[in-house]
Amino acid sequence: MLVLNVGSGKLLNFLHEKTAFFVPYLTTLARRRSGKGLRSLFRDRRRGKNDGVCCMKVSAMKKLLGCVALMSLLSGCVYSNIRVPLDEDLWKTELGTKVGVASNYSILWLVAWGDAGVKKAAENGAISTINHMDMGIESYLFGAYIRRDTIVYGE
Amino acid sequence: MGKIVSIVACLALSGCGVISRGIIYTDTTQPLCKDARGTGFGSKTASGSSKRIEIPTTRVDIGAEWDSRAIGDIAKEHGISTVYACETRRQSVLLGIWRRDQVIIYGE
Repeated sequence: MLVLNVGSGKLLNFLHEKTAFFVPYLTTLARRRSGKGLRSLFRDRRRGKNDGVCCMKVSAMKKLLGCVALMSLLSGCVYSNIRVPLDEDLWKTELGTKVGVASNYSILWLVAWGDAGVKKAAENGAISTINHMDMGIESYLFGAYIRRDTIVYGE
Repeated sequence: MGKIVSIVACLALSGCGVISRGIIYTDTTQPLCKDARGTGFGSKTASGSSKRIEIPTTRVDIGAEWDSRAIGDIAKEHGISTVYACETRRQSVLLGIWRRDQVIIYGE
């Protein structure tokens, strides 16, 4: 939550969704090295306070925050093509004979579209009763292109 | 050299998780109810959505969110007594300045 207060609101909020694990580390690092939190460091910087340690630490923190932002934008790995369970309640589940797939897409982290809903997947597979669901993810170049499939099995 | 090392480190640290969400435009539908054993769809379809407007230029996000996307509310409003399946649709533009989260339910 700290990142939300030190940057320009929504953009960092968006980035923060994927880097929540990293923020406590940054905060702890800032406190350990300078005895101050990230907010205090940035506030001192804005007010022109220069205690010799502060500015150096702020610079280091900025680099780390830049790294966090980059990590957020480059979410994903070079290539990923996996399928994982979506429905985990499998007690005596018979998959059925039909399979239906529906997908949504994301390109260059800018636009995302598509109907990967259960209904659409069932329609695509001419399925009236769904017995199980899986999810497929295909991603290239750190998420520059992502295809996310909903795969349904049934009759 | 240091910058290159930093970028490589960032790439190495980034995981394989994916979010199909666009900064400029998003309109995606995904499953919400994931217990699919023996799920049909019924004859009725209904949806409800909550809307959100935010001002992203301020340091602290200022926004407003209203309306209900609760399954119970949607079912009551549209006369559905048995819900079989549900999914969620998200529409947003420009970093979520405007966002609509819709829940679509199927039932009788």
